[in-house]
Amino acid sequence: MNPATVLLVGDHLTQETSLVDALRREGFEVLTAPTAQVALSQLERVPVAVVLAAEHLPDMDGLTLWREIARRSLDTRLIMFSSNPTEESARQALLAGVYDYLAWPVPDMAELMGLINRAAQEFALLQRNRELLQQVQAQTVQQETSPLMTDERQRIELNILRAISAELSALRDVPHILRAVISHLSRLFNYALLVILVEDSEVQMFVFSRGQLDPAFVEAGIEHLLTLHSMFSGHPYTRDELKIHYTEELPHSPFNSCFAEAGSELRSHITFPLVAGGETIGCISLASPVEGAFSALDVQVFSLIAYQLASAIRNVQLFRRTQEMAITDPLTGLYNRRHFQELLDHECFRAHRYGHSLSLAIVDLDHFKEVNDTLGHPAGDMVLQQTSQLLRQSVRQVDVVARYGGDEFALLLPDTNLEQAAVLAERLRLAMQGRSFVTSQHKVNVTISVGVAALGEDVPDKETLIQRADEALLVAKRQGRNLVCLYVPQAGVMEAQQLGLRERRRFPRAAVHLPLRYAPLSQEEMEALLGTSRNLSVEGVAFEGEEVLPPGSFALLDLTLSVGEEEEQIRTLAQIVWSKQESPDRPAIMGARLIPLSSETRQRNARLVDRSGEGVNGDIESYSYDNGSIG
Amino acid sequence: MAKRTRKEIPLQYVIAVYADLLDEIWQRVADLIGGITLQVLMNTAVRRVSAAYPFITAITVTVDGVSLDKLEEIGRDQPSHQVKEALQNLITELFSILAAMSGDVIIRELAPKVREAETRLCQITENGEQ
Repeated sequence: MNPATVLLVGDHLTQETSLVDALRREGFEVLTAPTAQVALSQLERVPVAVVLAAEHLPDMDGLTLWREIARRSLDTRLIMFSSNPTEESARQALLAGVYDYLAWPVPDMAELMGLINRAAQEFALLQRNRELLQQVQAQTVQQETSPLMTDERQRIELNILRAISAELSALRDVPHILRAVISHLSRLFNYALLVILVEDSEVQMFVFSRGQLDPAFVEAGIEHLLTLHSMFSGHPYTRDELKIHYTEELPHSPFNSCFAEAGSELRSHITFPLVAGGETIGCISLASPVEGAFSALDVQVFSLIAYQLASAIRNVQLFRRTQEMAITDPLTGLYNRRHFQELLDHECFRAHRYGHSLSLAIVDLDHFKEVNDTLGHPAGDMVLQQTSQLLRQSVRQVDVVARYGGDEFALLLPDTNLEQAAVLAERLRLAMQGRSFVTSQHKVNVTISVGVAALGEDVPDKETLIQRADEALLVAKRQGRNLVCLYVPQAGVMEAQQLGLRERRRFPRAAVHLPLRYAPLSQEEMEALLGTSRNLSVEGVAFEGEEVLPPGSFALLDLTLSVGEEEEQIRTLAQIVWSKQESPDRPAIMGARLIPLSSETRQRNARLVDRSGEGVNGDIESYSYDNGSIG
Repeated sequence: MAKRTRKEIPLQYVIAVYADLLDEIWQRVADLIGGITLQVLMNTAVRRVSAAYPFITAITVTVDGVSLDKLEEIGRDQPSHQVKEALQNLITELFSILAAMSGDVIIRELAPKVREAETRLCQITENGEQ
């Protein structure tokens, strides 16, 4: 195979010998052009796979150069470099079809080589596809001009089948396939209304009318299709279960006006189940208010189209399912490790390019093996599924949650610095701690340890990012679990709480009602919760209305209680909370928790109580009480 | 005058006539709409008829056609006129599905063949009565 050609345009690039050398080492043929005009004349002579161009050239800007290139060859890819990159310029370039937009100088030559290699491979694939298409077109022309295929109808039929076959290989989405097919159907059949029902991830109905039709006729056509689909598949659908798309955009023909005047009665129709792989995946129907609108030949041709259409739709569905399976973990539905690595590559690249922050949190379930060993693997699986759900619900849509290993999860947090990531991790830790997982027979409490790291000067790449988050996780595990540790540049691994990170967030008013446990605890329960330590510390956070008060603006209580007093004290706290709920006009509420007071936990002062946490479990209890009522 | 009593038509006759008829219908309809779609329609018809005649599910439907071999086996436990009724109902049901799909377009293509088969069935019935 001939080596792919890369063309460098602009002095910055052509004079960068390390880039030229790296490209040659990768086996590329390298051409250089100081200006856009020189580049365009080279492109006339040589097929170029990838163009690397500066955003601003002496005679033309990079975008104009790209448009000129795209006019000449649709297959050539262009990567644009800017010494002053902005998101807006990047957006404009990418919208215009530029393959990628990077900051110059590039921070990582290896990543750039990877990108160029991918672009060159795409170029080669597109070229090959184009050759194949030309071969198919040549064969089709030969068939169409043969004496057997002179009839106009046969040509149209052939076109439709060709369009569907093309869709079969293109693997685009279902509406795309339908549009491609429907554009031909109106030339072939004398129908007024076309209705298609497709069972996909949701049940969709596409209604295409030729011109304006009597609404009663359209309704009759839809009802007819629903009845038949229910008969074929055994799944009756109501209108509420369908997502219906109406279109009136078919090309007008002389028939259209006659349909509008023909009334509301459904006088002719052909309906076929869409059958693929032995399953009925939908239904397609042509309808007309005109008597005898369809012939036996129409039925024959339409059946063939329905069959091909069903295969094309099925192909897309299977392809999509295969794609999903390749990137997701079957148990949790989260991304799998392999896909996570790909996303991490992408996000690291993006973070470098735009100078954005990127954090990684690795979450590990504490003592998960014991859940599997004592309650069985089905219970363990349920915990993993419910944890996945909690993680997914706790992050933004742009964040990536993946199952990283057996009981390890990874959270990739774009545009999130270390501090923000630590706050999120701490919130997750508290949410897990306050949650009971319900399996078929048991209620399980599981805590998490989290290691957090962020890209930065001493965490320059994805390998180091993973390594640092892993190190932090290891420390969290060693320090007794149920802990968030982060890798702090130049300081090493630290506990999140040592840094005094706290979240300032708004709570919905309803969240003020903490799920409290009002019953006093027995000695046994107390020890189960708090260990055998007889010393307790009460830590708190204050709320005014919906707002968490800033630290220092309220008195932090620090009581040391003996076990004998704890029962009584806890009962008192609960009673105070109760009376607080009955007196909503009081200005401040304080959330508090009791934790064993040891030298280690004493350090974790001013810990935030997550008021949206659920239930009471683990070694920490949550309570609320009225500021000033205890003393 | 001798009293005319109704005599059961031998099951193999019923099966043979309906196997031929179904085969004929299959060929004609499959030419129009293809075996895969017809398989779905025939299975739909079988499902609907099975509510009244559960043994009809012994019919085997593939993309190539219909086989009554299993029905012949298990039909021995049924009066043959019931098997005949079930098969008649199956064809009626198939026709009603075809009519629902395309009005009379497909039915028109089948009508002569069905009339021919009905005549043959009548002859057998006549011969079976004394």
